[in-house]
Amino acid sequence: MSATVIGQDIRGGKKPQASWKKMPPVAWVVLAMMIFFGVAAPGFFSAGNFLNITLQGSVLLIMAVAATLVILTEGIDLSLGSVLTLAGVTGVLALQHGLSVPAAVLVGVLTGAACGAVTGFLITAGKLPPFIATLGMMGIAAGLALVLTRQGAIYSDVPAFIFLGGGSLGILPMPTVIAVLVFLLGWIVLYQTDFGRYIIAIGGNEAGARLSGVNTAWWKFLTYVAAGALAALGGVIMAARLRAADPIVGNGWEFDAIAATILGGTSFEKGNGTLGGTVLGVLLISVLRNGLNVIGVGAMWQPALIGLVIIAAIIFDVLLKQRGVIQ
Amino acid sequence: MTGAADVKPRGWHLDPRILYTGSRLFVLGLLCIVLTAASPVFFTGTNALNILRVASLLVILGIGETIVILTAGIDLSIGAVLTFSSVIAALAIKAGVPLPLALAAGLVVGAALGFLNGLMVAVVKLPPFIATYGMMWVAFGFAVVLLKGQVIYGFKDDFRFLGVGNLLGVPMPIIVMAVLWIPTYLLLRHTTFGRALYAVGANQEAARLSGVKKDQTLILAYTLSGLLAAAAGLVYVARLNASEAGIGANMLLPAIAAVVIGGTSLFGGEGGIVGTLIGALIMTIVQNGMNLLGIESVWQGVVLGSLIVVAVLLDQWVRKVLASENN
Repeated sequence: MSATVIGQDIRGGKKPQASWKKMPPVAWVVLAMMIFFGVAAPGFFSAGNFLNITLQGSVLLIMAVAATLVILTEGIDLSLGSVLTLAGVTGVLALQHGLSVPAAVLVGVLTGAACGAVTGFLITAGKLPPFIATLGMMGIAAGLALVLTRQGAIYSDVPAFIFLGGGSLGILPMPTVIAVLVFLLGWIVLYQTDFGRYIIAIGGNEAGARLSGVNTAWWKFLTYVAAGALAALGGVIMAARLRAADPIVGNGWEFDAIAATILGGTSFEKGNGTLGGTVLGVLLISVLRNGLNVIGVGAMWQPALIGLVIIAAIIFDVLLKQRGVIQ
Repeated sequence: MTGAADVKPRGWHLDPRILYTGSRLFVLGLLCIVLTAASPVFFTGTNALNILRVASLLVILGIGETIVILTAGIDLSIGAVLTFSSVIAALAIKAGVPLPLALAAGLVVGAALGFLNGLMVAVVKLPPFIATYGMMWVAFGFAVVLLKGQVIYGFKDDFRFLGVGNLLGVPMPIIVMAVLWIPTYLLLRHTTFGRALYAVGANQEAARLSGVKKDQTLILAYTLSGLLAAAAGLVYVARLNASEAGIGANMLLPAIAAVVIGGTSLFGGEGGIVGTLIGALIMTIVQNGMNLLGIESVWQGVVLGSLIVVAVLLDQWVRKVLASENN
């Protein structure tokens, strides 16, 4: 059961691959964890719990897709967590001011796109290193969220809004549905459109892409806009799940999203990586958090174990690559 | 004589290093002038000591982060290492271990965690971002485990002196900062290790080929970062009179911001701790000025974020002017 689930996830992101050698090491780690948790806690292997994992991992997946697009251009976006926070705040504020739910979602997403546009502009026109432009935006977006909320959570219980976070379509929770749609959209954009080809080209060799006539500045700018919009969508879903926008809810999410991306095999150099790998990185973190809960590890031990597993997984990955066991 | 004058390039001939530092000192001076004009309290000895005292933690953490960033790495674990090592020292003090030994234990633990980061980066060749991200969870996680959800508080005066005492009218945190900053400066400027650090950051492969001991340099850089984070933790806990798992959470990003505002390049090999000192002072003075002018603290994130962007844009501009002067 679990093996087929994982197998499908890998192939979801890439062309079918025959050799197990091409399976990213993190897939083995996820598989091993699932077997361990399955043996340790009978409740782990149930449809309900799997849906739970997808629900818990949904916002992280959306954020990680955003992080992956940016990292593939050899960039980084440290503002993703703050943008998540800020978009939740503007979305809920829009609801509080009587806007309809679709309009409020749009306000949230556009907030993120605007943040992305500012960082994209600073990076492409201002020639700032992405780390710095997005570090600045991180402070600005987090600060604006505090200013707008007067440092406290703001609430909304409009039913159609709550449905986005707590409702379900058939048996699938809404956040899962949205995350899967985001992933599919990201996959299509990355692997089936010019935008995606340029993202990969910029990461592989920016100067080369520019010399062969690609408007690299424009596509890079768009990448940051897209990442901002995605992080914002994550923020709106988060706010809908919590029925509130909390001004510090996104703290640290940028690191989680970037870590999931790197665990999934994307590297900061040369824009190597795949969106399918990122799904595995997200699964690693989500399965770990869920599994620790299911087998009854207390909240006290969880951060330390999460850290140890992340380090073990990346060491496993790097060692296998160094030995040439996998490509 | 006239011939020599002819071949000289136009314009002023400044060491770029002096110009970078100068541009930051200029910003610092401008801030001081504006605030002196705006608030009668700003330009007083008490306020100056207050600013230095507040900045001291940022400086201690920042110089550790600078050392790592000079190698083109990053240390995301400094906040968590600060927490963990201060918890160790606090527990030791509460267990009746003599104060010097307890402090040494905290410092050794911090250095050991940094050493592990260094091993992961230099020997296992993990990307610094993910290695130190994992360490962030591990150090924070074990701090949580050791504390069992409690807060250790109420220390004796001998330990608290480190945070709240005065020596010849100068607050102890400032003295600790100076005691750490000066040798670090000498280490970076006047030792083989310092030169190796810049060489490794500028070009790892070239540094290795020209005989620089790359692995040792990297390991020592991360170890120093851990040690300095631990020192900051001891001062902080002595000042707060309490140790809990959350104390380091908001330390990482300001420290990175101080490094960046100070002009150290994230690509390695460029910058130094003079800049970091100025960067930390600029950040602290901006906060201090906002307090004095009665600007609500919620705006601080926005102001600091903008400051990061403006500082680096200024840098780019100085570089451009410099390049055109040289042509």
